[in-house]
Amino acid sequence: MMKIRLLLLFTLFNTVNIMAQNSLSGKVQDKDGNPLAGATVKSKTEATKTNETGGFSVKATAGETLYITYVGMTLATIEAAEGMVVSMVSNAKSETEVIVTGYTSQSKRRSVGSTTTIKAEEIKGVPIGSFDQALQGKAPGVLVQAQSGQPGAAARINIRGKSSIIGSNDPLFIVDGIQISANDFASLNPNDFENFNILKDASSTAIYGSRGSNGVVVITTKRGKIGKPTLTYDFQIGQSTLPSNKLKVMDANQKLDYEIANGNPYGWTATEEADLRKINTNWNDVFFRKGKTQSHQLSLSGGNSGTRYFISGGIFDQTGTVQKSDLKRYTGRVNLETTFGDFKVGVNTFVGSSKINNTLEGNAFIGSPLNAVLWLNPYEKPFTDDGKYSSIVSGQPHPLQELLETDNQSNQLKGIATINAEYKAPFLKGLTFRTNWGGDYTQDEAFIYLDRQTYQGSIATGARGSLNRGLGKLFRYTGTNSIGYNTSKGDHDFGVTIFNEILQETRTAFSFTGFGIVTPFRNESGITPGTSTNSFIPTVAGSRNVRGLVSYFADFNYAYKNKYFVTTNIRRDGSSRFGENKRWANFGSVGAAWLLSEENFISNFSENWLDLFKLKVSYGAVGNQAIGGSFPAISQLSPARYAGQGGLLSTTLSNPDLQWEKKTTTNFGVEFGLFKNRIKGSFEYYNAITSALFLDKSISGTSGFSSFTTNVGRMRNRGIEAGLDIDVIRSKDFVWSINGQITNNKNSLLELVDGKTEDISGDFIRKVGEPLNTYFLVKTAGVDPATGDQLYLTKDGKTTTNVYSPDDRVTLGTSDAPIFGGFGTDFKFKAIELNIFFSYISGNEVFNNDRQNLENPAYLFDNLSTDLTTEWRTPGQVTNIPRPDNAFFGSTSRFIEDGSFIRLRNVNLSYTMPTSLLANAKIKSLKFFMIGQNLFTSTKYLGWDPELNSGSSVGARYPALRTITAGISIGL
Amino acid sequence: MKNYKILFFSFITILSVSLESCKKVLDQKTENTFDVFDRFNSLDDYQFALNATYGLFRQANYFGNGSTGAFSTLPDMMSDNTVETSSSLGNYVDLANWVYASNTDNIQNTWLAAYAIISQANLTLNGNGKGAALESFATNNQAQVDRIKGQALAIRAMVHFDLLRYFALNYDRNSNAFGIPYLKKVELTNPKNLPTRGTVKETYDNIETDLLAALTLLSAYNSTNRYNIDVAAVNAILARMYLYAGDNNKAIQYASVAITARPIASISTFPSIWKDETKEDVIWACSFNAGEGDPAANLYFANGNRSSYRMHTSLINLYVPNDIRLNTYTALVRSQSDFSGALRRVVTKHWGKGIFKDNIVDWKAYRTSEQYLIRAEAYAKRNGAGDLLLALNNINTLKSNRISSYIPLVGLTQAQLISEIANERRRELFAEGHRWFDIKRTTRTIDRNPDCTAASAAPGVACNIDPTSRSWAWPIPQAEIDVNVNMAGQQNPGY
Repeated sequence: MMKIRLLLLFTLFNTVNIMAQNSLSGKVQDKDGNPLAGATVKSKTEATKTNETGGFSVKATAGETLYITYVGMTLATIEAAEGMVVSMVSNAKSETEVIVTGYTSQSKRRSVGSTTTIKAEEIKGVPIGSFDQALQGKAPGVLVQAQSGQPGAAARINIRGKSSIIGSNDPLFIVDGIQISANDFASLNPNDFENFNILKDASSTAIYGSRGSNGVVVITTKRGKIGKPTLTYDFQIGQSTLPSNKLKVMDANQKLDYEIANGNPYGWTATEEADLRKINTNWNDVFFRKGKTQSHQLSLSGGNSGTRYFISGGIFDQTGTVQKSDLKRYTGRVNLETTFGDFKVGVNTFVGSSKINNTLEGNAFIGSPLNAVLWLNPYEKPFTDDGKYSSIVSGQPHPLQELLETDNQSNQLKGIATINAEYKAPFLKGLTFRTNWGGDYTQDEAFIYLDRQTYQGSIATGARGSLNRGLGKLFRYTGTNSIGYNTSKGDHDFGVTIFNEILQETRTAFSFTGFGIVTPFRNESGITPGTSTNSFIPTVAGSRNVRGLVSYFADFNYAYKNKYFVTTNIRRDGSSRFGENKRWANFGSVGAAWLLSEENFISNFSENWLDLFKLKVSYGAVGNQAIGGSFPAISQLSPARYAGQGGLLSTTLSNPDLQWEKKTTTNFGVEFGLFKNRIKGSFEYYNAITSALFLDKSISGTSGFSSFTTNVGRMRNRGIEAGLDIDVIRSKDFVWSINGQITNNKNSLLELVDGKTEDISGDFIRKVGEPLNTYFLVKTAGVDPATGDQLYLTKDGKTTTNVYSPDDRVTLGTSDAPIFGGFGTDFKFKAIELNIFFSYISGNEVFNNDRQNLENPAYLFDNLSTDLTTEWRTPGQVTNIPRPDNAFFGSTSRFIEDGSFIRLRNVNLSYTMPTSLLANAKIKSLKFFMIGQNLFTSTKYLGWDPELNSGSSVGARYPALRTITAGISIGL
Repeated sequence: MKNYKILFFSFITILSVSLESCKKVLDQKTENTFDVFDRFNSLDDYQFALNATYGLFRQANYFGNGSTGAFSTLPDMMSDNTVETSSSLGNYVDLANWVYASNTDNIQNTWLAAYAIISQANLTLNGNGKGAALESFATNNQAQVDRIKGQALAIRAMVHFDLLRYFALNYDRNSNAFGIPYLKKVELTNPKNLPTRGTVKETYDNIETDLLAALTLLSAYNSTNRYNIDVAAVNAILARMYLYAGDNNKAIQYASVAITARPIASISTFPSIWKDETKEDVIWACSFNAGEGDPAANLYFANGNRSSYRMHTSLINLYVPNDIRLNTYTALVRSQSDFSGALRRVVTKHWGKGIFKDNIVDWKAYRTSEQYLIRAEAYAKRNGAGDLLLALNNINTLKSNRISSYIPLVGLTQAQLISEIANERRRELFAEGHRWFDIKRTTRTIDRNPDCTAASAAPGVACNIDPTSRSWAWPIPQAEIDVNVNMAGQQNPGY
């Protein structure tokens, strides 16, 4: 198949007629008549660039159409004639946008694949520690969910649904051509980024082969701009506040009333009770605070035709709403690019350091401060009269003590450097050699100090606190060599590039935990050395892992008459993670696009209003290798110990046939631009099927294992994506535009292990025909007013019963949001600009585990949800809360909630000083701005924050930051 | 032009060099683990495999705590020896209140933990099928080969017996009720084995065969630190097995060997047993050290000062004032994490080694006093000439080593003896993983009143279970039935 197509292309290429041609000259200028240097002028036979004065000379037949392109301008066409003058129209959202795929770049116009480009400008200044969160709602098909309000916490990104069940669903992140780790962005400075290119379909991701199945996010960093040096300084400052919690807990009166009504378990006397009622502590006030954000960004950019440079430095300092939690980041970057002769050499170097203070999150551990703050009784005082932490009657740990008397830090040092060289062969025009080598070095240091007075410290070995320090190092290098050839003959543009790539990553880790922190030191000096007579025996651990990937691949492009486009790529990957039998795999794609708006039969009648109309289709296969550590195919023996002797323990079962997950995607798309691109949009349909899914095949437990990993099963993600940008008003002084996008992704399991139609795991079921992460719980049917029993629906959904039986479990929707997107509006009046952006998620269900703990009457010793004040007490009482001695079962629909939300994600107001006022002060530009983040959220979910990737709010949630900042940007 | 050529060729060279290194990039070896098929070419590896088998006893679903602790604390939590308190986080209520079903995770996890030990024991016996066989080292190292093989066989038998204790309907030696799949092979790649339950009789047959083989192989082996199963331990396991199976003669025979080999601890050394300060009275203990979990925090979590299960009043009342055991096994400790609350009686039997109170302490799986109780019970049940007196003597010996100024019991009838032995088992073996099975094999009745309804008890503590309850035999995990067609019709009745 592939071969036939290749031959076909070459045949076309060879049959081009050479026509009589002259050298015709002309000039390219902008609408104000300024010459445009470096614009590309293309005739049927050759392409040339304009000189410093905008002049050019091109071989062409008089009367043929010439195509002129220039970055930032809309494509211009002109009939070839001597002395022609081309005026190009500027367009901020230009059709000549370039899509960077990491290996190649091509004009969006010619792209056959499904990609979205987000300019870094769009998220500039957003006061978030991890930039991925700011991408929420910005691109169709891309679901971004923040997991935490902890400064610097990464979001989870899923592109076009989850395509793996037990393998990774993280997209591949590429910066300047090399892979960087996903979910690891606190040390990166988004102000260094030029744009994000999100690759979604097979045509654009197949070139990443075995790493492409979850989509690819290609990030390019800023390059110097030709011209005088420009120094830019950005400063912003602001504060974050706690959002409201829809899950209300009892106040002192409610809680004491409840306790008395349920047997007074603490045996309060009337006097004690009266005293306690006076206390009423709001633990949120004690625990949370206002966070502060401060950011300084300095950059220097400039260059000449030979060398360009971009140098930046940044400081980002954010404190969270939970006391003590913060992020401090320091970054520096130097990007250099120089051209000499036929060579172009570029170096991009970056170093970033982040320091995060955080707290325990995402668990139901009683020692987690974020749990204790919900669970503590309101009649407890936070401090004793002499200022010490009070002792909590129920035995719960003190949230503030657990927070302030422990340290939980993660420090990261990250260095990313790439060097690339390009050589344009002078002996054959269009032949280019390129090499790109780079490394991502990440050093993570974790530090946990637990004071001996805290609960966490008291449960450590030896019960006298602990101190843990760990160092993890990751070095991943990527080297890519390529030879490319591009040529144009008449109506035919043809390009081919072949690549070879090597990627290797080495991870080493070391950690120790010391015990017996009996001195006031909060570092290694506090550790009591372990002896045979004390129990402070420290633990140490370490590991080293190497993985490799070797690839050969090729990319072919063909364009005919600048309106028919074909792209094909193939890739062969070898991975060290699989056994000899299944080490290598092939991937590839083919795609085509048709620019209908260029056809005469369309443009003849639509010249005035249709700027772009493109149809595109692609099909291809990509893979996923991200499963179970470095050696998922090998039966392993792990170290073990018994009574001081060493041992070898069988820990994994092998499957030498384990191999790649494969995902084939079909994509159809339409792109359009109307009325001088005042209305622009895209619509895409995709159907992606993952086969050879990594799945745990259940085996008889008598083997000592419950399952092992195989490649069985299939899953489909099918959906539509649409995006629309409308400039409602576009005048000189006033611009009003609106934009929006929506994705509807339908996930469906097609085949499971051993022909099974369903597979239950915990509260979830995998069922053929149903989406992944479908809840499988017993449905509740209210409370019997006569008895106060919780009523359940039997499996048929018709009968109610007061007996809980797992046999009555039914499917109750999925935790993965099928519908999501964002919408916004931008106003620009003279120098004032206002951007408002909302993001939304719809159609997902969330299991509220916080509620399960707060509505369980067995936990009456601690604080409970206010809903329990309506507990059933007397026959005939109509309520949703059963009687307290009714057997409590958590795995029911009672705790399933609608996870949909709409969030006012970002509001940005700015004022740019007119340059005329600044000229005297020798300032190039001056801008004032205010940014609001997460100002408002509308949801039915009862809790801090509905934004959850896992579907279950286990507990200890760090609410999202609601941040308002103000800043200034000066250019010199 | 020449320059270009040089550049061009150097470029091609770079490309080729990188291609050459490809093979190296792909050939990565495990560094922190071994490929199982690269090993078992030395006797050392068999010894390592055996050591790891012992390590698996510390799993949180076997002797370890933090999950079910199925063979350490759980049998007491499920019985009338303890009652769940209001401090409990309720993680094991489904087991302690007998409301389990075939999909109860705690049961599935226990099943897996036990078979993980069996599988590792079989790896110790069979190797990986590719390297040298264990037997092949016998020519030069007969003694070590025998020791490895004997211990692995004894472990395999004992763990199967433990499973039988939970999952079998009854313990009769020749019972045709469903037994437990007896695994003698290990599968390291794409496991497909689907065993069947067989009968209780068949399970006993296999257990007996393995234990008797182990007895021969270990006849000269004494574990001085008591951390390994030696000749005395195999005798003790046999005695317990025969008592359950109702073979009184053999129970007496093997218990007697164990008692002779490992004399009972006196009243003065008795408290030291629980601090790991003496090996007296200990026949086999599973070693626990810092960082390896602990065997009893589910009852009383010392570091967190959380008493989830306390001793039942009916048991407290069974101790006479001079009995050293009540205050060795329990203590009055103030509540609150800073010990500022009210005094309450907590289980401190497994408080820690020496002066430590961190629950890190060896799990005494087999003790001499149990052997006395086995022998007493077997005599009492056999009830031949002089047997009742012998039974009484055994009880009196045990009690005189636990109660100061003890006045021996005299003239008990068989029924009185049986009752006295049952009570003595509660007093002596409290929180050692016996009570649930003892009730199961005798009265099959539990009454937790009045403690179950006390204000300090956890809400919803179940009070009673009657002899006909399905709960006396655990259900075979649903996950097992789902994948194993050979066990599809072999679920226990009522599930």
